[in-house]
Amino acid sequence: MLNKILQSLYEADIRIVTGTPDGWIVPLIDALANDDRFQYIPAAREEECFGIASGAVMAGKKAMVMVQNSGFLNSVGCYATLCQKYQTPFVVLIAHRGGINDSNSYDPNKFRAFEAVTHGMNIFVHNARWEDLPAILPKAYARSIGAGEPTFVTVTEAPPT
Amino acid sequence: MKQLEAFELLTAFAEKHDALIVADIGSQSLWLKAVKDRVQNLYLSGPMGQASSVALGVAAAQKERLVIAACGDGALGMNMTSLATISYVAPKNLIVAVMDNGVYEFTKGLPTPTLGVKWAKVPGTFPGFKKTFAVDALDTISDPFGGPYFIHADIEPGPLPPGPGLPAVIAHDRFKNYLTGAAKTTASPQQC
Repeated sequence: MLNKILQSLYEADIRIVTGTPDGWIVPLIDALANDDRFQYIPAAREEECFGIASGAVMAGKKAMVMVQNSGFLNSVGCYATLCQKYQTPFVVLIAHRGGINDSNSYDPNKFRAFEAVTHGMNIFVHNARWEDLPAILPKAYARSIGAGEPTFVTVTEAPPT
Repeated sequence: MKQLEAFELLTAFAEKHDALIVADIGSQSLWLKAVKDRVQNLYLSGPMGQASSVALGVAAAQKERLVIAACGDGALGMNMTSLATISYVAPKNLIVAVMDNGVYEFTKGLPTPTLGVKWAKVPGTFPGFKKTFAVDALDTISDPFGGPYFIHADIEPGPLPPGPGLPAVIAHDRFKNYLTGAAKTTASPQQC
């Protein structure tokens, strides 16, 4: 499945990916970081990811951000004043922690806050299964171009083993 | 040194190397534009402190071009982790410059918490950075693509820069179109 996701990104010409680690997306981070077709840029803080991706797309390349839901919450100001204001199109893959598939005691508040903030900001969010990502991610990028804004795709569980 | 003079030096260096400049909100974007409004400039009029991160994205996308991040000291203080990221990634074509006047110029001159930071020691603290140069010693950079480098501009607080800036979407489109020759790729009008 990871190979299919990478092939999908490659065929969509999405070659620059930046993110911060989350347990659910670590396998995808590892796969991207070890594939010479992609530049994976590990950021120290999630807010940077939205700046890095915006810079890449304003310089003419396609990009994707991968962060946990709390990482987006860390980045809301940057998202509003950079990504929305400059209309930077890219894909944001979110590990949406704290839902029905997540028993960690420290994650439910992230789920509630992400839901509240994205609803409050009227941000389009598409929830996907891991196995659907190869088809969804190119559509998400196409939507981001049409909408002139990042397109959020969430996963609510760990990838299948 | 006045901030205008620092941007004159930075612009001269950028023109010599056909470099791209990504400038932070406020003083950096407006002083840079006041010196010379180059199509190679990307002005960030929204986010505070994102010039270094946006410049890293530009550098990743345009590896054959030299990219300069023009940061305010207050702005870079808000995104100090970007120095760790840049150090780790270590793009050879990226230069981070801090315009250090010790105040938030657009916020009534309040002092920045970065006052007293030893910016010259950035390369020792963030080891991916190769060297720090003073802004009046840019001619001593013998290999601009041997970075990442750090530039420190020790400037004095001064008057606010002249406006207006470039609207955000126009800044985006102008920069992208210059680099790609492509038509507008941000939100397009609905087709009838």
